[in-house]
Amino acid sequence: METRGSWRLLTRKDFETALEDWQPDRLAPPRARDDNVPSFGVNATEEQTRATLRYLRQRVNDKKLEYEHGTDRKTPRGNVLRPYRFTVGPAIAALMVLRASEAFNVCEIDVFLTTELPGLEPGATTRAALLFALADAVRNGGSMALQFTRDCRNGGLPVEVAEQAAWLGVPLQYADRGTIAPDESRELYLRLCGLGDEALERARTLSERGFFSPERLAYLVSAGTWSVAEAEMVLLASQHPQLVFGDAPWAESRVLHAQAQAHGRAAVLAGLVDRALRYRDPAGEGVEELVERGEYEELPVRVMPAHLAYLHGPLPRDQVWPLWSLHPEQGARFERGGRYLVLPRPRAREELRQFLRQDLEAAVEAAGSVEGAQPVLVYPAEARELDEEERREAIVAAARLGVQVLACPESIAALDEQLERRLGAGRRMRR
Amino acid sequence: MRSAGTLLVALPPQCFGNAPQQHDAVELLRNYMPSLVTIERRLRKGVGVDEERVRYARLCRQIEDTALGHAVPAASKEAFGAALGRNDFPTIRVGSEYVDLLAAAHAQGLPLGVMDSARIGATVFPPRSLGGHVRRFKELARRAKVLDTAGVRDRVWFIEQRVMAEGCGLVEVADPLSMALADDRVLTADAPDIRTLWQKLLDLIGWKRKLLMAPQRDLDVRSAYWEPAGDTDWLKYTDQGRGKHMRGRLTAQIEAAMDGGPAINLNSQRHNMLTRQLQKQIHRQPGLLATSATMTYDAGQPARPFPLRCLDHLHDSWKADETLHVGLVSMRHLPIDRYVDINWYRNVDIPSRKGLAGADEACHQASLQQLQRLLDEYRGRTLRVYLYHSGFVPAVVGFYRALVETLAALPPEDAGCLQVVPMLQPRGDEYIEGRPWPS
Repeated sequence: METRGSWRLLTRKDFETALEDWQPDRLAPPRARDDNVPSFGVNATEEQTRATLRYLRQRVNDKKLEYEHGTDRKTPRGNVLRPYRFTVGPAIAALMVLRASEAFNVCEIDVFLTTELPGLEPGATTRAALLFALADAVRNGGSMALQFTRDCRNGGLPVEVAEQAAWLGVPLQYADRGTIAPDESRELYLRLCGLGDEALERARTLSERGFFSPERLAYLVSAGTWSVAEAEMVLLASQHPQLVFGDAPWAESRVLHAQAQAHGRAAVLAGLVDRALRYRDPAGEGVEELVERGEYEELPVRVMPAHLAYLHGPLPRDQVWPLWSLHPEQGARFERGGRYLVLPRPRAREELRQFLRQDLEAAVEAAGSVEGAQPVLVYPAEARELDEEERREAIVAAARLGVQVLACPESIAALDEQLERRLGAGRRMRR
Repeated sequence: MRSAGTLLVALPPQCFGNAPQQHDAVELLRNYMPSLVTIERRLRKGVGVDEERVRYARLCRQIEDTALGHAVPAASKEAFGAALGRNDFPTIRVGSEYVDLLAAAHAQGLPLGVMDSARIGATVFPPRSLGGHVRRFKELARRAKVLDTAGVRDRVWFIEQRVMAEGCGLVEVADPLSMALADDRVLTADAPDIRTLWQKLLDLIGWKRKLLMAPQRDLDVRSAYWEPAGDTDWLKYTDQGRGKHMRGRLTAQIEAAMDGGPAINLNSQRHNMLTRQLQKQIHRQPGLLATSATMTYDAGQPARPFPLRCLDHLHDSWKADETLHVGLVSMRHLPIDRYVDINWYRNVDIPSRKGLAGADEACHQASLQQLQRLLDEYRGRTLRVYLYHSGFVPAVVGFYRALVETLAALPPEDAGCLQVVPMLQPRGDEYIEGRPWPS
């Protein structure tokens, strides 16, 4: 559901360079055309689009918005009407103007213009725009209600927003007055952030019990603090996910802190494996495309909470990771088309000695539940601190059981540093 | 869902002594302990907390991992003694009920770990601390009605019957990554069965249920960490008359709070409007008693009540002998530096990690002290302070609350010695004067 693109404040200079002569491919709304034919263009009438551009021209010249990228001027405050643009590659995919209304505790949306672009799922930009508006509502501390102004769509909801809400299965009670109520927003946000049904259910249960707000979790996931797979794993595998996503305990409450660290570290370690699997060397083929989109490619990943494992693959190509292998002479190998069941086990040295055999057995058992999956046990860099004989024994035992054992280049201290950054991001935001 | 088990590792008393030891692990642990004590003391005192937390987490991990390196399953008295004799550390694994209990206590906001006098929720226990700890732990478990659950019962049994009996200390290691639904008592298999017939029956039912109902269910614990705000302002949305709506809302909230109703929600107020509306209520009114208005910030963080109807108006002929121009907070609005003689708060002194209510309280306390010093400084003269606002509501509320409290507590002979004129946000280059406190 994720749409790759970037949001940025629309400044006067931006407007002059990108929008002054903007001619969307076709200004006619796509739904006005034949439904059977894929159609692209702006989700608004031509008249609405032109009016929006006129309005944006005024807005970017507003004195309160005297901001330009690359200067040291302050970004405008949350309660000022702020224009944003969303671009996917070179194309402008959405335009939005919004502000936090202190008077009514709503996120007030004055412009909501999205386009259907070739190569993107229908409605993808509308979902991205909704995600952005909801994130803004979280950051500015309102009630989470979204309010579309009369100028936006004559006081009602944009059709494309109503369509997306219906598609996501969230009924909107106040659609006729252009409002998405706080509870509806929370539900929309949870569904938009990409978590699976089981994880969503658990998140709702924990929210009902007061451990954290739905918007807090959705924000942490949609802002990339936790990836969808990492968040799902913590939600489903941990007995107390609130220690990671809610009121995270400080170090002085060590038992609970250690519990949060264990699950958090496992997620961080799994994230490193995931990124390493998805990383594509820009020196390889498809350079231009990957440089533009970022160097990571899409790769199916499934969370298996019962085994605290992630199933990756099928992989698009062979990979060798020389830095990750426990074996002194062989790199870790991943084959094209292979499916790998990755079990992240961020254990310190002595803990690893105690639990290695149990982990190997767990890996074999987990792999047995997925046909054709090859088990991969991943430890932090501390695994290299095993003495030579122990290492050799581990390699032999793993080879006998058909398990690949990896030692991540990062140590537990480095994983903890990343984890603390993430927990810190949660601590700084609204509950 | 995985069982949040915990390994209990008994440490020989030498790990906590002063005499050097031959055994490497014991000597290493012995050397860690003084640092642990120092860091814990600094954490309790709140000294260099950020750095100490990092050090504490690292040190605890080192201690836990070192202990784990020599941990051997040993629950029976013979096995326990034999393990100690071999310089190994006797260990059992207890089930998730222990962590569940701590998580429930954390959800209720109880201080845990280093902050608890009995070290509930800490992982390292010197021998001398275990008696008080286990008494307090049992009390906590009894109140939560989980004293009979396997994880809690096994832990108490191990500490009382083995660790304390041998004069040992204890280290606990989190083990949430082991197999889900693993039999938590595998390691205690050689322990004498201390359960009553009734407990055995309950356990039997419990295990059957556990097997049938996997994955494990959550305890029905609730937290007050978050609750929906429940405000309905969004329903009153119109694209006209925002200021009027905010004024009306604030007036209604102040009046309701003065009558003992819900607290004023400071989260969605503008500082200038709040200053004006509160000022209207600070003076005594004929036939009405002095009162106060409760206040709250986001997520229900309560702030100190604001005293109202408790100040006398100044006489029409009141004149200031001296004037002072004061900026509310330093470094927030640099352009006001050209107007002001001093800043009231230093920006760095306003805590950012205790939420808005914490900032409010800090500002209030600072203001109480500074107002007293100001009155002492200008004793015998009348003073008018022009206060240049920043938009930070906790700083504004903290100041004016302290001002009203201070003026209301003055003896009659000092009445009328101080007046504060709010200088609200600028229109162009000029600040707007608000109504004086008191007028």
